[in-house]
Amino acid sequence: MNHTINRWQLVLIVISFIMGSSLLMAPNLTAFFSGQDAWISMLFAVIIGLVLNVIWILLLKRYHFRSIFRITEVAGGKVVGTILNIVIIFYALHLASYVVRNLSNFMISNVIPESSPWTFQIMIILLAVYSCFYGLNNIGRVNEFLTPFMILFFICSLALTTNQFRFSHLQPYFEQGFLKISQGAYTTTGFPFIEIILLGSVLTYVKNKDKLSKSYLAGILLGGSALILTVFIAVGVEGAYMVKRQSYPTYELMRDISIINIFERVEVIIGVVWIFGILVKIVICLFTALKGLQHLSKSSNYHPFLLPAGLLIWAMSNHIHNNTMEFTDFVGRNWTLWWFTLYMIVLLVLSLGILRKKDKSIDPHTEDTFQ
Amino acid sequence: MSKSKSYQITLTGFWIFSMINVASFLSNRKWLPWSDWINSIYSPLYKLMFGG
Amino acid sequence: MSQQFFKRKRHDSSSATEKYDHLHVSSDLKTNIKEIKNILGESIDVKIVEFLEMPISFGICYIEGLINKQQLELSIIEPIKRTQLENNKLQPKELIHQTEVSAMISSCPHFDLIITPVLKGQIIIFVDGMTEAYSIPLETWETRGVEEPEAQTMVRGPREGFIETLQTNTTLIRRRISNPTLRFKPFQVGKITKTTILVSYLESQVDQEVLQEVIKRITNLNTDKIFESGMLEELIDENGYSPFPTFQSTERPDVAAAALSEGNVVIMFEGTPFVLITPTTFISFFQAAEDYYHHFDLSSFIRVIRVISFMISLALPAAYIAVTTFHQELIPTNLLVSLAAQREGVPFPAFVEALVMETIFEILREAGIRMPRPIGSAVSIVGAIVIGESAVAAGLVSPAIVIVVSLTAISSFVSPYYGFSGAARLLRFILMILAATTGIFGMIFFMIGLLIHLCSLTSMGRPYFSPLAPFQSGKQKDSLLRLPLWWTQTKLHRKWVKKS
Repeated sequence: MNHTINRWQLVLIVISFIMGSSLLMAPNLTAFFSGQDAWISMLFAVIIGLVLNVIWILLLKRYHFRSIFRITEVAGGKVVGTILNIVIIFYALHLASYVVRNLSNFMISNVIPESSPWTFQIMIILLAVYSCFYGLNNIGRVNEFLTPFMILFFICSLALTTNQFRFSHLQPYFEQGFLKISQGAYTTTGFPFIEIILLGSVLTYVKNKDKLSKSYLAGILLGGSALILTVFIAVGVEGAYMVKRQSYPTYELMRDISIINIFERVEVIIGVVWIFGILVKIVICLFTALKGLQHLSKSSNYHPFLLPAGLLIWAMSNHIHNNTMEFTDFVGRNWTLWWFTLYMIVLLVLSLGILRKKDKSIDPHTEDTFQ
Repeated sequence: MSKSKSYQITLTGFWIFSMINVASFLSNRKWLPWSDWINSIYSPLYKLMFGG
Repeated sequence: MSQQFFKRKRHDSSSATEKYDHLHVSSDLKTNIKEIKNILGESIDVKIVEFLEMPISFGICYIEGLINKQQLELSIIEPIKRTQLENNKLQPKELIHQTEVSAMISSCPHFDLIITPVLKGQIIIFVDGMTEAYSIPLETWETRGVEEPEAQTMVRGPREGFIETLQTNTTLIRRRISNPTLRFKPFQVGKITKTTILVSYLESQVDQEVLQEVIKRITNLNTDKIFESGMLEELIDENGYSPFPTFQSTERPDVAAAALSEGNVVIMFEGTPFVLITPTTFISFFQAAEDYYHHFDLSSFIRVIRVISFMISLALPAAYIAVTTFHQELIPTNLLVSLAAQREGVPFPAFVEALVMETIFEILREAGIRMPRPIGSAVSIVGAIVIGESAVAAGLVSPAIVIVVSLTAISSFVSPYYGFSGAARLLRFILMILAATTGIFGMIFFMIGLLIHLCSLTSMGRPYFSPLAPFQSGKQKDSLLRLPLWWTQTKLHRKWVKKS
């Protein structure tokens, strides 16, 4: 298992993580509340997300970007640290199961309706486990190879829909009022931008940590911009009314692509390419959980945890919610607060650690004891 | 391979936790209704913020 | 844990070979002759000639067919006899030195140094009263001449190919690289066969870490027999279960020389024209030597064609199944109507159709290779007419699947390295099953899995999928495209990167 990645790979991982499942969900989640001002909501979400992550990365920097599980133990002491680590592991696995469920919901409702959701769940979990088996270095390379293609596909497909873009769909601006816009921003703040604090377990494996913070934030900014663009174009092409009523407006958007009557209905191909972004998100969650378990067990590798973690994600992804409506409603209501709680707790522990001058005791030069 | 105590406790504990989840899913029973618990905590807060 | 579990089984065959270190040459000629007869046994090709009536009696041992008999008569036996007869007072000790039979003579105090050389084609001289024997290399045996390689052909480029004799092969390389740092390091592998292999490299260019790794793996090898480079490849490969080759095998001296000059290690074998190049990358299987002899724009274009044809040979039947079974909306309406009309009356689903046709093609291909040459044309006639036309006419398969299978087949021949297209041949069937069950999603699932697998592979500790991932912008001048030579000319560019 080789876990080292370089800064460029980190930027791409951050972009994939942010675009991953949000690309499908973001237009609906924002437009549901803020209508044609959805893109303003998304803009707010990106700004809030950036601010939260700047604080987060500055704190981690004080601890020399050590693994998050190690930092919590140093900052909060043995007992608090262990409890917090278990909580982080649970959050990571819980998130992974939500992303898996999101994928199978999408596949069942849109791509291959006659299939069983289990097929997709098991397949994607198998891929994630397979990738984690080889370590972080592997997903860094795979992602490095595929993300440029994904972004190219994304830009091309958006560009192809712009011939149906109407500015009148977006007007009048700010009609929904501040409360509605902030309600739209609320859901998407948590969805990719607070979840990404899980990368705290990944940052320690970046080879050259000089401009790490900048790369990390640049990744968030790029991914966030892609999301704003998606929402902007989705609402501009389809109109707020339609976007509100579709579960996956970005996918529906691709149905409108039509070039010289041959490239029609290509949404299947494009939709399927996005699966990769979702996979990266699952892999990072699984990796974080496994690293946490490895840290708790003080073991030299995390392979024994691969099987139970995969089973757990599969079971949880199936029994968290009964149906898609419940799922979407839950994510819209609670997701940001749920993740914000974790963010605040970790922030609190780390800040107290700095006040107690615990960050000085962490050795910046030795590698993590358990690679 | 280290057979230390913390390793055994973590691995066993994690297996048990994941098996409880698998069993509750396969038997279609809500032994660990995470979503309900989360919902019960945050729904009031959400209502407070956005008024339902 | 898992490594120990999967460690390949190896035979322990210490009994198959004996060591003769303890057997020293005695001063009595007859004892020595008896000993060597005892070891080599009653074989028709083992020749032991004794000259007992001479003042200093001596004996000569060689294997017939491995040495030059005429030279033995003229420049060894005759001079020894003459020296003895001219000088009666000669001591046994001085006999060989005074005769000056050969400059390459070496003395062998015990039988281990006698048996191995004699089996490799040297002659052994026993002199009565001496406690050592002498070996003189006189190897000559029947070989074929240097011919044009058959497995890797090209339009422009040298017509020479490696042959089965190591000596000729080293000459072929030496003639291309007149560099003082070129090294050929000999090793013996196989407890029974004692095959000679050469590890060759350019001392000034080679990546020392890789070289040490190669030598370590070869010396740690514990095997009975090796007849071809493919067997060694499988034994020292670190990714044993992967369908992708992590060694490049070639029978072209220019390819081997180019690899040496780029800092790779080349492993050569006695008895096979195929040499191994390591470390290698995924992308180098799309690069033929000819690319560098043609103009860069044409070469780049051809490389892209090779990648596309690899993708076709891997995924086309699966894509056909997925599109016709699950995603009909992807096909333009007119085409869909004509496809549906073709499939009217065909009793099987697309998956079965494709599976059967692919299997039939693989059978035809194997038959074409194995059967005696004169019957070869019969197979193509049967394949083309019976399977192609009659099956369609009989309504067993649709014409579209025949097109798909033929295109797949032709594409699989494009790769410049035969072993590499094998990976696509095998993986194609798995991909077809996934496409038949979950459509395009299954295919993407498989492709991502394949990519994860490729990124995890290493060749002699170097990343296999570089320079694509990890991405190396400096190495892109000669990866998917071949950019003009004057861009890359001066710098040494290894195709892989340092261990990351």
